[in-house]
Amino acid sequence: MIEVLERPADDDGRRALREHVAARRVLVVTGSGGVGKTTSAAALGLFGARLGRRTLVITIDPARRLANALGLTALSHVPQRIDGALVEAGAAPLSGDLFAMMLDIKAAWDDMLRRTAPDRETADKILENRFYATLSRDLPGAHEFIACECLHHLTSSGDWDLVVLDTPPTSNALDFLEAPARILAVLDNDAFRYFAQRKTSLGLRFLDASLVQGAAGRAQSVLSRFTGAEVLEELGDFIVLLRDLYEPLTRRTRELQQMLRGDDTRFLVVTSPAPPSLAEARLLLAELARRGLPFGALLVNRVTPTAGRAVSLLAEAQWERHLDGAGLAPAAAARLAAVLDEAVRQQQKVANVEQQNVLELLERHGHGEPLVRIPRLADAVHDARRLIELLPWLGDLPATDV
Amino acid sequence: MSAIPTLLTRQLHYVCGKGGVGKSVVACALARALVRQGERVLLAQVSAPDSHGPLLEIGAVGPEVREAEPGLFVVDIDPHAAMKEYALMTLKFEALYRTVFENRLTKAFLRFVPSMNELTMQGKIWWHAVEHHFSRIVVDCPSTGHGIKLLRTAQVIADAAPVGPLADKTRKMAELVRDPTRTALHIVTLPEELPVNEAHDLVAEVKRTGVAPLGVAFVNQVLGSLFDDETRASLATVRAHAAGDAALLHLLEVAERRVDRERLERGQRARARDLGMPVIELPYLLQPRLARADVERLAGVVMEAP
Repeated sequence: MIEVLERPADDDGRRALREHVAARRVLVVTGSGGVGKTTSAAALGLFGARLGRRTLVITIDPARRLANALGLTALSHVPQRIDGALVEAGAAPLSGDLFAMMLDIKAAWDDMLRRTAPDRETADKILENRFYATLSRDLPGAHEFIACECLHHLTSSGDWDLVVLDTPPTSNALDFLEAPARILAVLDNDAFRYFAQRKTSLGLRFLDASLVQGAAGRAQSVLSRFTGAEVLEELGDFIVLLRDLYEPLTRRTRELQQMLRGDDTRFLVVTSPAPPSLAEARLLLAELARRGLPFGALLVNRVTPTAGRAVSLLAEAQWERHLDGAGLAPAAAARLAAVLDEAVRQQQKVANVEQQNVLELLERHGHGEPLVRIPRLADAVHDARRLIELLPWLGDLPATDV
Repeated sequence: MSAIPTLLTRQLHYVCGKGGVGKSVVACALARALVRQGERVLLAQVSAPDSHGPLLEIGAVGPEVREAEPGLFVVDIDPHAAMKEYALMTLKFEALYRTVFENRLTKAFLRFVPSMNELTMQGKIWWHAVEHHFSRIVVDCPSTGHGIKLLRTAQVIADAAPVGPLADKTRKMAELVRDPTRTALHIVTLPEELPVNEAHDLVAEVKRTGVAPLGVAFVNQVLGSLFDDETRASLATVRAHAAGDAALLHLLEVAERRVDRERLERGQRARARDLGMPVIELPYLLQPRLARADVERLAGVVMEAP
């Protein structure tokens, strides 16, 4: 007899999720890579529009999955309207508007600089600096920083009832939350002030021996042996240029942090039932609690349905007789019976393993968390029609439990 | 396309792929396969939560290189520890290190130098490769941006800082990573559409940037096919006569779900073979948590690959 682990219904979780989609202004969709986070964000955005809200979904996913899921061939840095038929399909409760955009990291950085720099000349100088290119492209946290900045820009514009943000896939999803503070800490530090003070009308001469004084100076001189002098010099130029950006960026980051902690925002954690994703989800839940960020619901994607009723059948004596009516040759029937037995056995084994893993997560984190389980669909969701199939499990259309 | 046994004779093995595809399991299985072939192997994870310790049942993996069992050395390359080591190599003296690197200014500066963390981790790997006489090094890459950011770092820094001691080191690192006789970049994927798409994207990017020579494509968690043409035909026949038998309909639902999944999986396995790399398929092990016995089973599959 194959063991079948019980699964409680997800009604409460779906109700909670529906309330968030209907009432919050920002939903931040977090989770490790490869768990269907982008698809979930698209489905939630669609759900929001179907509740009558003017909704924007933002992704930073270079794989263009969101575009595919929303029935577009590509997304751009400018919000694009999604086909209204999708929003109204299957008797939507209400009908709002759905837009989607893909954050172009380079364009977003350039855009932010032009908005923030005191004048065009400063903006141009920064844009031309070699460190700027590396910073905006390769500095760990640069993508997350600009995503936060962009989120602030869009939510404070007043154009949207609901913004759904698909966070960048990071091995450590919390990087996203830390990025603005970390990057600003870099600007607001000794090095920044040191370089800023050394700026003269003749340019930076901080490597000049006569200017090198004190511990900072000694460190500087040894560092230049470590990295090469030109690197420090150009970096110094860059830091000085950034000086004027510090104030406005700090203010906006503070505003964003306030908004992210407020009642207008909920963080959703997306995971798959696989142990590595669940482990990351657990870290994420703990970290959200530690930082006082409001948690909305846990979405478990790609859950294997239990095969409970098929298991019961296989437990009957001589269950193979159920195949008799088809008139198969005895050998063919016997072969099929063996394969069916193995298929049920394997599906239930996978379902049990997943159920055990999810329960373990909930036990460690407390049973009261809103939980929404979404079954593994037959195919990857990469077109609009398939996106609709996810809605019942999110609390839009009537659903049966997985 | 080199045969797999030839690829495995290279010294430096980067195991790359998106999060959740089972990179760590594959890295462990690859390392164990190499140890079983008599190699002296360093298995490195890169500032990740420790996954190798539990998988190999060897206790916690820390920032110090440790011989966990004969021939298998493990390490978790922590950027801060690596930074210190890298700086000590360059600056030679501990006291000088403290003066310079424990200084608040320097700490701030180092955080600001692009990708310094990745660079020092890469530097540490390079140091092990050059100095430490491991015959094989297996690096379990971070999931971020396919993990090849780590490999590209040396080149990025060499470009941003064209002169100076840092540039010399980074250029040598970049050369080692690109060397087709010494390095292989393996890709781990799943037999599902998006992971295989991502593997194709990664191959394209690796070819475009020339960051490292390609190695093996590992297709992980292959469920395999229970059904063949005959049993599928029998299933269709039974379905046509099943109306009214509720219990049987539930059973058929499970079977048809499985047939569907097998069909999709075969399609994705075929697409993985189009990556232009030799493929190793690893079976889906129906376990709540993989452990040593599972790693050994997968290592066996790696060793038998033609």
